[in-house]
This record gives sequence, structure tokens and C-alpha cells, in this order.
Amino acid sequence: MNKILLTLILFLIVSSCCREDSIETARYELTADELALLPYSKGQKINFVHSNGYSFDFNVIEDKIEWKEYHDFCEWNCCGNDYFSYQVKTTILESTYPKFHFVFSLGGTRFNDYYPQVLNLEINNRYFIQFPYDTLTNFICDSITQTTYYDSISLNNQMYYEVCMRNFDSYNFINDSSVLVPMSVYFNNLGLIQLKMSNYETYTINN
Amino acid sequence: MKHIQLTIKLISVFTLSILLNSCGGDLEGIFYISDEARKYQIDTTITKMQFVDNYGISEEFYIDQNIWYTTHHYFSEWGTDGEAWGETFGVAYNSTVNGFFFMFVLRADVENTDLEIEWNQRDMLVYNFSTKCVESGIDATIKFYDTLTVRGIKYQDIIEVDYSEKINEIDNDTPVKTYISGNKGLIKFERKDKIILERIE
Repeated sequence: MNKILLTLILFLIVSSCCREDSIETARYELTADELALLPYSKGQKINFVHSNGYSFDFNVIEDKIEWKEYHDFCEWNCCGNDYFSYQVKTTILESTYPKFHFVFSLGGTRFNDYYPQVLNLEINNRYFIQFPYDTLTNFICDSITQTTYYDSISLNNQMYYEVCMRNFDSYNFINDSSVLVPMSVYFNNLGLIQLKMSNYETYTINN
Repeated sequence: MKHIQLTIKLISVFTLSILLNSCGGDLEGIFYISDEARKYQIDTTITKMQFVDNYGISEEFYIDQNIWYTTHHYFSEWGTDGEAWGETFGVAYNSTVNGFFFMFVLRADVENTDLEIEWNQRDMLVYNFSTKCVESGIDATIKFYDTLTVRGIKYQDIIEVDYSEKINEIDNDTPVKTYISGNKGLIKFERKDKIILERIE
């Protein structure tokens, strides 16, 4: 009886083995210009100031580039599916108080989503925003992306150039529009330069 | 083969006896949150609470929508015979700027009501209203008093949770002191880094 059961289990294990190799059909590497969109390095400190004067540091706690695989969704008989590889750059900035945890990513997100030509920003695991860019790594600023471009703009009494601004368009779990939440993000070649809240308080890079 | 059958029978008898013993016995009735604790049942129609810190930075605590535990008030069954039930009330908030998480629960037992206070899913304590002791979690000093004025607003029925004596044992984001108003909820807290957040609405 035991021998029959053992044989049956072995048969099931052997028959469920995948004997076809998956084939990589393409590799998408981030370009040097794309990588330069996130001008941070691990261990760096970046000082920010709140609009009421409180200054604090962001610490760059992670800055890594990795390869991920994209497979088409497959529930049954997934053996030997083709896939492509794509590069993802992830940079994490963290502050002690105010307690912010910013996750920037290029090429994809930590959820293994493939997002070519998009800069993703996730704040405190709750607020998500994306900046699409073109093949020349210029941010796409138009009504579709709801992104505004400024040749120059004064933020916290300092001039910044070639700035892209985008408003958050939705908030997880929050249905009340009067709740205090991040409202918009300003970004340029320095990286994040300002986070504006819905009550117009701001957190601005302090050069 | 006989050994296997004997073992199975022994396990069955042992399991059955455990099941029978866990069926609630003579316990019956509905056990409500005590009157002493009831006055600390926070008004859950207040879904957001605005704060400001001593540097003028705003913060807001908010009851997340569509998550079951954010507000809960129910009777849970003890045993399996449907004879004994205990009342539980709880409310949880997330802060929208710093991502703080604060949960407050009153839980009735046969002889007493427990108060549970949790910060950021790191530090949770259980205070027993009957024994007047912290029975689980880091042993904070718990005080109860009638009123506390915060930013010009006088709040009633105050619970103060003070971890000053255990400051090295708590998480960096667990406030050293937390003040809760029975009806209005969280009204003030003081962090290790001397930052104080106070309710403004």
C-alpha cells in the first residue's frame, strides 16, 4: 500500500517538473541619463526645511540598481514562458522627524511592476506619484500627465530652474478631501526640491 | 499495525478530551465594558484630528476607511455554546504626514475591563481597570484625571500614559507621554526627541 502511494507521489513530482527553459527575449537597461534623474548616493544627507523654519536631514539609506524579470501573467501550465529583463533603480530617502520614507524608482517599482520611462515616488507607503519622461529623459509636462513645467520658479525664496511639478491625484484609504495630505511634488536635476502639503505647508531642499 | 491503531485511538481520545474541556464550561452571560471604563469610549464620529507640533508643523490623525479594525464594537463569543459573550470597543488612527499608527481598545472580561493602547504596531500595553496594573507590555505609569487644557481647549476624562521610567525600552516613535480624552480621543503626545504634538481641533 505504502509502495503504491510512494510511486504515485514520485510520479506527481516528476510529471510536475518543468523541462523547458524560459527564454529571455529582451534586456532593457537604464541609460546614464535615466540614472542621473535620481542624483543621490547611499549615505548622503540632504537638508530640508519646513515652511515654518524647522530643518531636518533626509538620509539616503538605499541606492541600488538591479535586474528584474517580466513574465506574462500565467496561472496554469506556466512552464517555459518567455520573459524579458529590465533594470530598476531604487533610491530610498528617510528622515527621523518629520518621519518620511520616500521610495524613488526608475524602470519599475518594488511591487515588480514594469514601468519604462517613468520616475515613481512613493511616500510613507501611502502616497504614490509618477513622472513620465520621453526617450531624451525630459519629463513629459502636459495636461495628460497633469505635470507642469517651469523654466524657473522661486521656492522658499530661492530660484530653481527647469522644474517639473505634479499634483497627487488620489490617496489610498482617504475619501475625505479636507484631510491633510501631500498635494504636489517639485522635481528637477537636484532631485526632489519641494513637497507641498494640502494646507500649503512645504518641505523644501535647503541648499 | 496494532501499534498504529492504538496510537490513533489514544490521540483521538486525548484530542476529544481537550475539545470537551474547552467548550466554555459553566460560563454564561454577556459581559459589558465596565462603567468606569465606558467613559473612555472615544467618539468614533470624529474621523480626523488635527495636531500641530512645537515647531509649527501640522499633522492629522485619520480613521482609514474600509479597514475593519479602524472602528470596531462587537461582542465576541467565549467557548462554543453561545452562552458567554464579551464586549469590545476599539478605534485606530493613521496619521497622514508622519504615518503614525495609534490604536485604543476597551475589552470586557468576566471580572474586569482591559484597556489596550498601541503605537505604531511596536509598543502595546494592556491595563486592567480592576487591578489598576499594566498586565502586558512595557510597564508605563497610567494616570486618570478629570480635565486637561490643550491649546486653549479643555478636555474631559483624561488618560495619561507615561513611559518616562522606561524610556530606553520603547521604540523611538512611541511617545514618552500620551494623553487621551475619554470622548475626544488622542489630544497630546510627547516624543523622545522633545517634539510635542498637540490637538488643535
